[in-house]
Amino acid sequence: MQQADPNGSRPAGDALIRATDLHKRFRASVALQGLSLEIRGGEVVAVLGPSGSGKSTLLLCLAGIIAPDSGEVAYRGRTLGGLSDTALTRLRRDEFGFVFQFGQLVPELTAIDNVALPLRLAGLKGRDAEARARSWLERLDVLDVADKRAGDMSGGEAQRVAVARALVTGPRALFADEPTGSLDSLNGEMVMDLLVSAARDNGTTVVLVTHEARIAAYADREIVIRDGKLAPVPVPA
Amino acid sequence: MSLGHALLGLLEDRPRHGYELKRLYDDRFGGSQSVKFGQIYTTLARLRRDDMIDIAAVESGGGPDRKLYLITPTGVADLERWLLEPEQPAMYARKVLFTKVVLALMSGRPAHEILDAQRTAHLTRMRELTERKRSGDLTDALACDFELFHLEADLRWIELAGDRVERLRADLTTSRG
Amino acid sequence: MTSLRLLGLGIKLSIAGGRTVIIRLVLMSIGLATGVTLLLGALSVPPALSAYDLREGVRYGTVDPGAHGVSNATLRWWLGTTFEGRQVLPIAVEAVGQAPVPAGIPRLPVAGEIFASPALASLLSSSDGELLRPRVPGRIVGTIAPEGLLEPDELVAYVGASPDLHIPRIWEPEAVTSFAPADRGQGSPVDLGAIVLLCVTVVAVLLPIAMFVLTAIRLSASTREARFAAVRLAGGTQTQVRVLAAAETAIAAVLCVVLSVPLFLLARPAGNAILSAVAGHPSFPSDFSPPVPAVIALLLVVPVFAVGVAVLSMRRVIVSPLGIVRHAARVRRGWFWPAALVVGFLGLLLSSVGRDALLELSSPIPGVVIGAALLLILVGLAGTAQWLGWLGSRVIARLRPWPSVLIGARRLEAEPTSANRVVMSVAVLMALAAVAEGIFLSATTYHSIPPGVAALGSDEVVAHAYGNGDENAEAWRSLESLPGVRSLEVSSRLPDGGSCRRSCVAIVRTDGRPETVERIRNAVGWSGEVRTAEEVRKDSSSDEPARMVQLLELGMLLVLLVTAANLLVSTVDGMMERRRPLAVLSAIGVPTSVIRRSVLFQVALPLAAALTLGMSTGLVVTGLVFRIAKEPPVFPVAPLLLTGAAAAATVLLVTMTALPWVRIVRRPEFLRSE
Repeated sequence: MQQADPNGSRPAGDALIRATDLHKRFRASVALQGLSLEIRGGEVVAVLGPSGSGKSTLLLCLAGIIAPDSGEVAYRGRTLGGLSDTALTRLRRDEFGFVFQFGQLVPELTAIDNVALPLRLAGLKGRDAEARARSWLERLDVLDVADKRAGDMSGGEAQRVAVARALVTGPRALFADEPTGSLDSLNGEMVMDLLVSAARDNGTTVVLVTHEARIAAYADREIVIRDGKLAPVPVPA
Repeated sequence: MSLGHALLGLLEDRPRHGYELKRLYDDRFGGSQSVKFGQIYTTLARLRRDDMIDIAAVESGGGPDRKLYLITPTGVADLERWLLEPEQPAMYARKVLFTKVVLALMSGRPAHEILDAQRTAHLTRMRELTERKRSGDLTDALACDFELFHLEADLRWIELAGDRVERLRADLTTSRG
Repeated sequence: MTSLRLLGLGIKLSIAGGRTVIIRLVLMSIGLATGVTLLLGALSVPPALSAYDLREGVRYGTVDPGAHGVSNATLRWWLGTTFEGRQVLPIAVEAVGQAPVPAGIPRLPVAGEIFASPALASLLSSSDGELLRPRVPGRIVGTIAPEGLLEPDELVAYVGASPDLHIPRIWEPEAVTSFAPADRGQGSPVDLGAIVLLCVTVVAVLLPIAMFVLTAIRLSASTREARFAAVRLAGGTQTQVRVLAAAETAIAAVLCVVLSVPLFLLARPAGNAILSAVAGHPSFPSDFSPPVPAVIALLLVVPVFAVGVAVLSMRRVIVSPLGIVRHAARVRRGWFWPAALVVGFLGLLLSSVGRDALLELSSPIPGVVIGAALLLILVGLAGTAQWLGWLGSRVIARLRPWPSVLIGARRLEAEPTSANRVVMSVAVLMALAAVAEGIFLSATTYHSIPPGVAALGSDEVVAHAYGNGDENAEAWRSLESLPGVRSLEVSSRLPDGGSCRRSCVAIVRTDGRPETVERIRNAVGWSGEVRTAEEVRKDSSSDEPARMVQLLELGMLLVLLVTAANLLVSTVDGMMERRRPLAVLSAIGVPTSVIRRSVLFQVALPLAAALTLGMSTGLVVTGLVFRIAKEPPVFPVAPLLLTGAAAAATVLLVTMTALPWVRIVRRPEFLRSE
């Protein structure tokens, strides 16, 4: 929920998210090698790069899901590394939203259960949560699958339900990893449109990982990652 | 001027004859149509006038096809400048883009630099189109999508072309090594 | 693709499957090995019991009924006594002519000699045995070898007959003509109790094993499906894939068979101890071994059985090159189970109402009717409990509950199988426990202790003389002067209601110390019997029902543990299968505690359904059973609640060990799409 931060963060200038010199290595491969960037509030930023370049890892670091081996990520001035697991979970619940490429809805729960879940966790009563969830499902034109289980709907429907779930709490930052990857063009467009509207209308910051230029074109600017590092922005002649 | 720059690119490697230039151009950049002799010679003449190329030798009994052309330092500089400059995305300038990218790749310049540069230019145009599509009506959407898909296709081809060349280079180095 | 190459591909794929495959193999092996070990134990029971019978036979030998005038025999007097609560059996022997020698000793002892069992020998030579020596006088010249003993720690001795023993003259000895066991025809009649025990164990053990194998097979279902689909893609047919599945199980089965033999040898002392506790007498560990042909048969049958289970489980599965097509539609026949339950109850009710008419029919029919009704009830109970649990989860999910409850309920609704196993076992076990505890409770309240016995003080000792009243009076007076004896009361009525010649009974009040009791025993010698108040009480009741109940509860605990382990495995596996959605939940801010609570709920709800239904059914059945037996019904509510609480605690505790996995499973590495 976009409430005033109860912990009163330090003013962070313009940057909502700031990453400094991130390094991350997985068992066999190096994902990030000294990456730094800044994302301002309300921006829609596309993270482009070939597969294996580390874009997903970057996203997970920025969202506080993975901790980098070295370097730090600051959100609204507070270093994520210094927060406890409980605090991070609460942060993600209240201020972040997530959309992945696939497999993100709880398969046993119905669509409406899935979308209402973050609201219920935040303390909303069952009836109110359901009403809110329903209105979002309607906005995304998936109201007819409200009582279907996640395993029983098409990929496009499931993805739209996932977007509804990400936006239902009115997050301050939305992280999307190839959100249109398993969608056809029209559905993909609907999803991107929604994400951009969320940014324009509510000031939500959107960080979007994609390898498609057409999707990246929805963003205000793009960041190119190659081999775990930022590709230098070419200077126009 | 794509033909002129293409010829400069072909001459960067080593001096060539007129007929050789035509053959090479047709092979690599001609597509289904072959370029007319007249066009080649006019362009060659212009390049000479602009001091981009020079004549290294003339074979006896030679028309323009028998002349051996070589590239001048001015020409090299001009070619370099042209290659490094990303091509403005224009709907019907496919050929220029194609030429430029192939030349750049063949000449050994790093593939991802070319791709990144071109992508930035393309994306700027694509952003404009996306914005217009979002706020426009159906006809706008159709037209924008058309161009958007083509622009994306450009970028995907550049990436693939780069990968191919890099792979080939790697194979050559290992077999030589 | 040739079958052989296909098999090779399949095996290669399964070996390359990595950790999960190994875990599955290990689990299957453990489950099968445990089951086989238990079965081997059950198979060892009849041999152990008959070995005991044999030993008894050897000791008793052949007795000539016409004791007088035999030329070559061993005369034998049984001199049993009690020492500090333990049975001691001196056997006085005297040789007549070429006398046969009992098993375990080299020769017959002459007067003043003793051949004692190892336990008795050490007791007599220690200071603790001081008060026993007057009753077993003589010099220990050797020990009895194990083949001459009934139990390993038996206190028995062959004593050379002599006047020092003060054997009353009126006691006639037996004349033993040989110590080979008498030819008693077919041997002792088949011990029905042991057979029942065996059957119950086999069924009770086979079921959890089958379930264990099923669970192990279903482990990592998705990777398995992918593997089979790959084989189909490579050109294998449906049948070949089934063969592959069977082959996997066969490997595990062979492994387990190899494991189970050493496992049994390790577990043998424990098994022997259990049998001893149940049968009421200790037995030799070496007697506790299964007959060899049965072992071989078992070791061959079990792998076949496991493979059979594996093949059966694949029966309804269609493997296509794209993956496993959902099993052929399983209609949820919810109404079937309660119907069975109701029919069973009706059967019992009718039996109880028309019991007189029923019992008039020729003998097997009432048993069959009641047995069938009981079976229907148990089966119906199992099915109804599981159906109830599923129904409950459906209803709760729609009530807009807390997230943890919602996730748990929906998961139960979608995938009820693992919970079902717990539910079925617990429900059936509760019902059985109700009946057993009802019987036990009624047995103890029914067998009321005679008032005379109940009135005995803990420091009182009952001495019963065998001879005439007049001789006894003097003997009693001599008792009064023993140290530790406070007072003496002579009567002619035994505390448990019998009577005898006048002054045959003395009730002696002591200072409560065991030495005093032993002195009294030494004073009375063989002319009478001395029992402490506690021994009198124990003799007037039987602890048979208690032992049966104990056995039943042990069996229940074992089955419960196996089922709980089963549940644990399938819970953890379920979590691993849902790695990605769980990781996503972690990403969007669902705390681990919510997930943990949902896992607990998934177990708690079916458990509650099972407990309530099982207990109530059990109580009703108990009532009906008592009515059929024309006894006043006894409802063991308190012990049943206790048993229920214990069962619930076991299942929940085992489930809690799965909870730490939740944190492990939610690792975000699974979220990377590249």
